[in-house]
Amino acid sequence: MILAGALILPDIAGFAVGGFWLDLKHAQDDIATLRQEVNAQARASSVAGVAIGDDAIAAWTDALIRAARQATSDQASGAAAPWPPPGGGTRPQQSTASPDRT
Amino acid sequence: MTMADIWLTAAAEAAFSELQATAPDQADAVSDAINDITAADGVRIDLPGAPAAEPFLAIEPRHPGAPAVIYRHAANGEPGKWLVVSLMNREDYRAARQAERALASTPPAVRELINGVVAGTVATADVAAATGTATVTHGGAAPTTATRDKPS
Repeated sequence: MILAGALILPDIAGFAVGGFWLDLKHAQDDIATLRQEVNAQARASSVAGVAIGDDAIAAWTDALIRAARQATSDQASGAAAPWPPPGGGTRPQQSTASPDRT
Repeated sequence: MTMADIWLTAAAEAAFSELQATAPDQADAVSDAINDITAADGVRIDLPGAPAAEPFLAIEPRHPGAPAVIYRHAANGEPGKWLVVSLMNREDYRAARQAERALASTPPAVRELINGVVAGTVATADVAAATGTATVTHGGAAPTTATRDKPS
């Protein structure tokens, strides 16, 4: 009986220690993975910052400003008229409306 | 659904009339695109200036040189169901679309910067046009300056 206990206890202790060690190892792996991800994101951000550059930013900004200005200005251009315009769109599909263009 | 569900701004109507006179084939394509508004799903284009609940949408006519049709749902108080806001030069439209796509893959700070500059510039008209420079400062960060191409 004593012999049996002596044989089992080391196994239990070994399991406990081994389990703890495994948990630690797992946590370390997780931290290492997380650190790699953070570093990768940081690298990606700085690479993007470098790659974008002033010229690209200026070009995008310019394109968006030009489009936004036209849309905003046209939107404010005054009273709207029904489609199709008098004289017709080139291919009116229906003519149920009688445009009032006074 | 009647055609009267679609209305044009004065600018869009003038642009269409001019197109009919100068490029009838492009006008045909634009006309078809406008007629399709009620059936087609336009592509959303995020430009400042649209009512908050009614973002701008766009349809590219089948003719590659024809202007893109920029439209949106009619807002409260506007007639019809759809408003054609603008006929936008196709190159300008594609450049804006390309800028939108490029911005989508940039860090949020860059997007904020450019969106802020665009919205601010459009809202304040040509305040910064003389210098061609717009500066935006946002919380805790150093001011960032975007310089537009200098006029030639």
